[in-house]
Amino acid sequence: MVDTVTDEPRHADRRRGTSGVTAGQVAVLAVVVGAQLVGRAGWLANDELRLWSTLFVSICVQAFPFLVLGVTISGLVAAFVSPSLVERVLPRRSALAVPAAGVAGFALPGCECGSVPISARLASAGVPPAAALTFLLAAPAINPVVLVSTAVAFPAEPRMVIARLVAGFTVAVAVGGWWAWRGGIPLLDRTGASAPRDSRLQRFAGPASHDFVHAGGYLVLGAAVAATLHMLVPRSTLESLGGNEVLAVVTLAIAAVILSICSEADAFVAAGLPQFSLTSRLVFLVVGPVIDVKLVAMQIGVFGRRFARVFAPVTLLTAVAVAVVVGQVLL
Amino acid sequence: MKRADRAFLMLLFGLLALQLVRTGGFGWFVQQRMRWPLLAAGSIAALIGLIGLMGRAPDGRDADHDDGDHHHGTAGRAVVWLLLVPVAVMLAVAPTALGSDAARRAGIYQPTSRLELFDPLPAGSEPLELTMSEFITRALWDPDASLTGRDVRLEGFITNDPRPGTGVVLTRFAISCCAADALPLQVALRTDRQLADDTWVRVVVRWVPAPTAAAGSDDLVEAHVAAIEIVPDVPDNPYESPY
Repeated sequence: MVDTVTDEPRHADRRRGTSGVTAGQVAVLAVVVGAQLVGRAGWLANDELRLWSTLFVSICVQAFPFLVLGVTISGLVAAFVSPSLVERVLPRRSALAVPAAGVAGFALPGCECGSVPISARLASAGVPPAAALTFLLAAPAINPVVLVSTAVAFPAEPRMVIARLVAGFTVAVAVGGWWAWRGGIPLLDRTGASAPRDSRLQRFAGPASHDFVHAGGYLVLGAAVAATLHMLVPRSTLESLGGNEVLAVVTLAIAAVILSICSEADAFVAAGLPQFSLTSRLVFLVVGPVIDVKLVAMQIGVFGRRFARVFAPVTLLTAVAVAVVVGQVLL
Repeated sequence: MKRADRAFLMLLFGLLALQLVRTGGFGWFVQQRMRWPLLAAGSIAALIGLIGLMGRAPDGRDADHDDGDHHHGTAGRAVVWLLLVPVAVMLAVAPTALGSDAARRAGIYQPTSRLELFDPLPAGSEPLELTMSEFITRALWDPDASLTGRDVRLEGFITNDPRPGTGVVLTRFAISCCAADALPLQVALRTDRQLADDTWVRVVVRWVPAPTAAAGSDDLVEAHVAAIEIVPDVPDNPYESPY
């Protein structure tokens, strides 16, 4: 490629690299301008649409910083963590790597939006898949921000914090351990968005943008579903289900899956449902961070449909079972 | 989606987040404490986008079509364009803070008792600045009935007859995460003034102790209105915390 006689080929490379505006960029600009015009004209000034839009946009705005945090970290993993480094640091055998990943999950603040891209990057960087999955489940469930918010939301019940920590860690290690023992469905490697010759800066920014748009797309889908369901299921219906213990657990498990609330704030929502027992609310807090509509959509996008078909029900059942047991014992 | 498109989207989102913080508009959707996280995330996203835009396109066969997306499948590749939906919705629908519409749908919510909210109120005759949450919690739960005879300043918007017979109701939403989990805090106002739905007001009120508005009942806490001041626009900070 490099011609030492003249500089011509190098110039040609540079020109091809920064080659002007793409069709995609034009499309994005068209949408932005078009939407602004529609907004000015007031064509979509409908009360229900506006309310839905507030709910929908609010979930997106709330999730955005956590998504950025997540893809930034996954970009850093892509740029700086080579498989040999990972092999040296993590225990080689899944038996040890799984609990280690559970403990590592404790250290990373942020909500579930970021954990999917990060664990995908970890898996492709050489971390055993079971450990990456343990991390996927642990990080949103038991990181410091989540635990602090739980403590703040239940000032009269500090046991909720401990219960959440214990249950969250147990679910992560149990599902990760089961995955390691069962072997089986490979995690599709849908990561990778940088050419090997890129600078480290590009090896960071490329995967980060790639993860952002894919995780973000599914987040939007989940937010739209959650907003629509908020409009369709009134709060009073939820509360009238709180009387029966079994029904309460089932209801809150389903609510956690459907509402897709960020794990660092779901404690406040749970605190606002005093009609439900502490155990059923623990179920809500343990299920939410590990499995919900938004997460399933993201997992399908990143790990594949076959993976999600097995992973989602296993995680849900484990989370409910562990939370109920921990709740009976501790709460 | 080409790398250049991804980078562009990232830049766009970064700039939008920064714009939301600059105008204060983020306060209609999430808590005030999200200001700095949004600022930081917006800056980082914009930076990542800029870095991506300045990079070289991959050479060879990738240069002319989607790069890095080969393993996503058609649906996976299409889903990324969903990112344009929140952008389009925000610009085309221009959603605002939750209002009387949402209050009517939300039903009745009563804050739970919290002991720390029953600290003695400051003495004196000046109107107390309280949050709706604190006012309602004291009205329902305070064993000392500390609100009796005190003037209190509250801020919220008007909802007329959220349930038949409730009359003019001052409403404010408490959010813990974002507008999607908002809980309506409502105080029924005893006043002759006619006010349209969604009018934002600052009022000075005095609690009306009523045996029926007890904790656990369906009735709203009532207050007699001493003064009403209309606020011209939806405030940047229309929500409060649930506690």
